Amino acid sequence: MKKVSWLAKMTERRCQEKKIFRRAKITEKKFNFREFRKNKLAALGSVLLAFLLFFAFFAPLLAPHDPLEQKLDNRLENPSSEYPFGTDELGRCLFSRVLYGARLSLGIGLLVVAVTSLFGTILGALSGYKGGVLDELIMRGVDVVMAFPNIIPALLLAGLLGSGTFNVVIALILTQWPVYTRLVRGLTLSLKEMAFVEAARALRASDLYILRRHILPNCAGQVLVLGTLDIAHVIIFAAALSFLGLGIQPPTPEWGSMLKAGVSYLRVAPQVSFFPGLMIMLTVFAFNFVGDGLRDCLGPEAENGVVLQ
Amino acid sequence: MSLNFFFHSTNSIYFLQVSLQSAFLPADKNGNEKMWKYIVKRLLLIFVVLFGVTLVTFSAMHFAPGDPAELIALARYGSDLSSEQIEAVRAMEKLESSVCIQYMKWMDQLLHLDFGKSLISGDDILTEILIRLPATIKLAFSSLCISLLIALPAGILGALHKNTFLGQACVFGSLLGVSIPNFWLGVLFIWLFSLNLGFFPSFGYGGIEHLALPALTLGTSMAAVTTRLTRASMLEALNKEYIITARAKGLDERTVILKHALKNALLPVVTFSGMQLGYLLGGAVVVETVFSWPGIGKLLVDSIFARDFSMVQGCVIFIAVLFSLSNLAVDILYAFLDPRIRYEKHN
Repeated sequence: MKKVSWLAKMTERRCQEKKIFRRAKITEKKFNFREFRKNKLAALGSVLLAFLLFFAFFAPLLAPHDPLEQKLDNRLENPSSEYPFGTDELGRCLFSRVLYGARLSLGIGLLVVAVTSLFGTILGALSGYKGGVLDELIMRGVDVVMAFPNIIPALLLAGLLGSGTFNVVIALILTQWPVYTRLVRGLTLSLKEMAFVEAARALRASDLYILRRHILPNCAGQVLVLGTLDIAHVIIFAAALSFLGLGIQPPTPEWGSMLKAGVSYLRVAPQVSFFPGLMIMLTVFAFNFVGDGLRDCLGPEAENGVVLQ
Repeated sequence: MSLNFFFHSTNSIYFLQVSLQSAFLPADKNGNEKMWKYIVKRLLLIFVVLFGVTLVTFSAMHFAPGDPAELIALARYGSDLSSEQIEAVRAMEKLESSVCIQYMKWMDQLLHLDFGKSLISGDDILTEILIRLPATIKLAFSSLCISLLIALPAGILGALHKNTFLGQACVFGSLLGVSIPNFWLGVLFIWLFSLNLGFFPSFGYGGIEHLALPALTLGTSMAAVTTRLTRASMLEALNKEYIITARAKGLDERTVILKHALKNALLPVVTFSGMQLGYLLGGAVVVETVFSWPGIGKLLVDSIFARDFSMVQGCVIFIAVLFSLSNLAVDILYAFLDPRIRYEKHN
């Protein structure tokens, strides 16, 4: 335990500067759900999210048409009572396709974030708690994935694996985990220096027990916030991959590939591109609002950054 | 902890503190000496990371489903292949030697700045990338300018009128901006400015009229994040004691805000813009594709579709190097710009 990393040192120094006990900070970080309810934007986000989940779940009941049914006589029609959003270049009902697209996008977002947050958190906690060679290895892995900006690693993987829903999910899982690892490692480094962890160790608690009982629960809030914001990100990434033609292929109703298909008909039928894009925006918007609201509940310290002081 | 942590999250400010902490590292009693140590350490780390990058890229290309020789032959000769053609490619590309030796040969080439030849056109990869670089640089700088032109006034107004409708509108607007996927924004801009109003061409490369739409698209979506950051750091600066002092000694509000608050608040904004630039130089893939802008991102996507693996490899390595170096530059810049570190140096 003598080998304290620079991050912990930094943290300690800043705590001393501010004459703040870290222990006190940790207890302040509990969620305050009353505050979450009061936050208007977060409430708006939650309502929007509830609607989207409802639409996604009941898409087969709500959709007026089969999303794959082509009626070449009704190509590129404007919105009407029969086709609320109009029809696309093959005469398929855009409204139905957008509804089914919600299933796919939300599903991919939730699945990818569930897997990455789990594995990323475990790796981060191990890395921060164990230190040494394991820490070096994991963190260099993180550095390597993060040496590619933005969508490039997912693009590379999706390009290699070939298109398809499964491959998009794999590509996103393999490239999104480092965010969680970094966050949790940073938190673990400061948490393991705390009095209650030392007390547990003095009581000869096992490492596994300390991780499970003391460290991971204290990281949970931050991971939840990051996860919520990350779903938004994953949804944009998945849509961008499909938009580039490397992700989910038509005729599967997916927002990104629908948007791409509409670009060729922008002059005659802008609705083909407009509605899928609008749905992506609303979904991302909802997750961002909820994530922001959750973060505000973590206490005033979380306003500008991760609570590490 | 490097700064690119940032770009993997929508709400970048959230992580600013974590990321910028790396820049505090050199701040010590004998700051100058520490600073050099820090830079050397970071450079060494970058070499390790870039080595990892080459390893990952190479193995991704070689363990991808399918026989590499067959894939290359497919890319070159089209779909009906004879087994002789595949074997000819295998011999020509020296694919019969073991993976280890192939990797070492490739690394040797890379270290001599030889990125190899394109599988399809046979052009030198580095030359091809360097031909595309000016377009990417042009786009990156112009969108950064647009982003700052929008974000700085919006962020400052948002902070000054925190509790009014105007301030709330700034917050709402920036959250909205963060949520708009930039490919959709690009398509909307094409529809509005190009098809309906006819102001700008929707694609192509040449004069400023071609640059306008892609730069506007990237600029506005980047401005959303920068606005949030400017607002947050402006709010923080306005709460500081030196602002009270400045007001107490009777300075007019304009001086207080522009000279005392803004100057301090700009520090994270400057570094963040530096990071965004690095990110743009390597990765405006989607927007470049929307507008058929002949930059590196477009080259990468086109090569992926053409299954030109050596070109993909080259592009990815080039982007990673560019991105890592620009992040290092930003880290150092931050350490130099921070007055606290300078103060400690004088001690």
